[in-house]
Amino acid sequence: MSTVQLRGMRKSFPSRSGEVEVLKGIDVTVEDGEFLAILGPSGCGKSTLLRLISGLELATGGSVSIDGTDVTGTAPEKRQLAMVFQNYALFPHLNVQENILFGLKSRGADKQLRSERLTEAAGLLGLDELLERKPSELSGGQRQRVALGRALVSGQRLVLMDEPLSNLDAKLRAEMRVELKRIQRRIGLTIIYVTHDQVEAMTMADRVLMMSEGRVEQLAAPEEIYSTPATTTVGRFIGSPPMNIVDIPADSDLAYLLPGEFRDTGATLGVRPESVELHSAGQPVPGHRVYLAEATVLVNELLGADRIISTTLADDAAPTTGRRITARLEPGRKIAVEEPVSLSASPADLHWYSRNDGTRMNLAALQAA
Amino acid sequence: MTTTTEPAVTTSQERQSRNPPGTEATKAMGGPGAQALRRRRRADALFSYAALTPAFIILLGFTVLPFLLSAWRSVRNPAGEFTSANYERMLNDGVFHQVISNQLVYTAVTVPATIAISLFLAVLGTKVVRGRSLARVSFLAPAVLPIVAAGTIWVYFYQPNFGVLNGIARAIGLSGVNWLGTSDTALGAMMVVAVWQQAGLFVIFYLAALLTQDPQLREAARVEGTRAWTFFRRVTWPLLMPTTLFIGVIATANSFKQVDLVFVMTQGGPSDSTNLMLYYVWQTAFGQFRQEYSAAITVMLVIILLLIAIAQIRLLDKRIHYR
Repeated sequence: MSTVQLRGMRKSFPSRSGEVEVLKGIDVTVEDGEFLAILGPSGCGKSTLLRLISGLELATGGSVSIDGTDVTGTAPEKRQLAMVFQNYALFPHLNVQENILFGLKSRGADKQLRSERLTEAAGLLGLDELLERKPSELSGGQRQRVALGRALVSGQRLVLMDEPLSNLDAKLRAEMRVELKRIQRRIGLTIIYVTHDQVEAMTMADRVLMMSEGRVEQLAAPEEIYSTPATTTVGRFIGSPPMNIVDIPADSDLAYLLPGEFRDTGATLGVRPESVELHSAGQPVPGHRVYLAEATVLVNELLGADRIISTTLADDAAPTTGRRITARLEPGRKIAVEEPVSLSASPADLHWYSRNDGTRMNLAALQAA
Repeated sequence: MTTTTEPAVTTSQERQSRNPPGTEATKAMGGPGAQALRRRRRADALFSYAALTPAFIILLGFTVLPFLLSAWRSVRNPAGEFTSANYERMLNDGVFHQVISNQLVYTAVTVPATIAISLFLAVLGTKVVRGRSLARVSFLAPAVLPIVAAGTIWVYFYQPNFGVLNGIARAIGLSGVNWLGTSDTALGAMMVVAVWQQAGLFVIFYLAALLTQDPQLREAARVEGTRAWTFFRRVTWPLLMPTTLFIGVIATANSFKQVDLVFVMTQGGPSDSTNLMLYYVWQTAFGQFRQEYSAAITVMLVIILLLIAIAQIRLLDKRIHYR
């Protein structure tokens, strides 16, 4: 059993101009055996949140419970957890074996337990042949696995990870993602995983906690966070290229797009690039699609399996002039730069957000369509 | 809809691949490219030697040459014949034996004491949050003081009648001690001054080394439940080894070079209890005008220093992790 409960977690740091509030009240419950990814841009407070859970940093307000026990003021070593650091934090003068067993040894675990755990972890991580090497003789991926091994032999069911793959190259990162997920499933670990890489969060996590500026933007399964972003911030952060976000005031030239409820207030439109379709300018849009706007093709990029077209809304669309809309099309499409086009999308693919705070607004009418 | 940019890209790539890079061809044939490389290497080597020359001249002229002259002088008698008399004399010279034993005690105590105290102060120094720079300056203060001044200050501390130490002793009802005037306490009193004087400088080295250690190592160990002392013993101390070796070598050299405190505080007395090797060398050469004997002692001093240096580096090098 390893559940984690956070209630109203706050953290502020003193600075020259008074207190800086880094976390502004975080509530989340992590279930036993769950892989929770904390995702957000740098400086959003995600690492701080992890350090509060670990006990390396103490909260200004709120409470942390692990397995139902309040540990808000408990020292890290008494919290029953293991941690993997971004730069691995390996002891440079100790070899792989000593590094992995450091914690067990300093807590006085007996020799048999130590060698059992070592064999197990080394086998699981493929470290058998590296046990005598020093960290300086290892590659980045191997160091990463040693750091992971150190967390595994501790026998803790709750593992906190702070951007553990960010120092690896792209290919290795992809391999380690699969590896990490495999180990987590096999042992049934509860993992809280901090990352700024949406791919890591989307591929490994059972649920994603998206943070921005010290607040929770959305807490949901990866599919949901992609298909129905709760705020424009989430939409802008997740997806590559990210969601197109266009602000449409009530008096703008694009006001015809606004559903009935927002005719007076205006709204923000979000639409994923893969939902946008390009048509030759002036041609009528097929009946089941919604006509969006006229635009000019700006950049045409082929990314192998996809073709990404960036367009800018046409000149006569006064207040929205210069707005970029990207579309993801099949690679075979031939489109010239500077070509005038008209954009369309399926009505079900339009997401509406409040113009004030960027939160999602669900429409009964739209859902029906 | 047609793409217009892509053909242009392919032609420029083709043009590049049609011209094989010229440098590789010339390298294989030993042509002008290889010649330029050789010239460059020769110029680099010449510059290296030129840069080394001043240091080399100073080392040769002021260290190696005087030592060789001393060694030459120590095996010749005033008549100009070769003799081992100066070395035989050492065997029967009671003062010399006293000096050697003083010196060994002095080195064996001041070096570890300096290391321990400066490391302790440095660890404290990393924990200080308020007044950090004040703390660091105060560590360094004794080291920037001239040794002669430091010695003089401490002579007043140790003074039997109105000195600070005996003042305190009398205030709490103890009878004072003539610290520098008693054979049993004089060397110890001098060692305290020496450690106080040099530890400050080494605190700075330890502080620098401690501050470069990754704080995440401590955090990782904390999460794993490692106690502070265990962490210090198994991580901090081993990682400080290069600094410790450096400090050990310098402190050892300092202990053999120590004459200033002897001059200012005791002149080697009482009854040669604080007489150290270099001071004895000076005494025999310029006090007693036995320069050949003095040269022989100098040779002994150098040999002892060489042995210690070799032992220190041999012993510690294996156990040091250099980054």
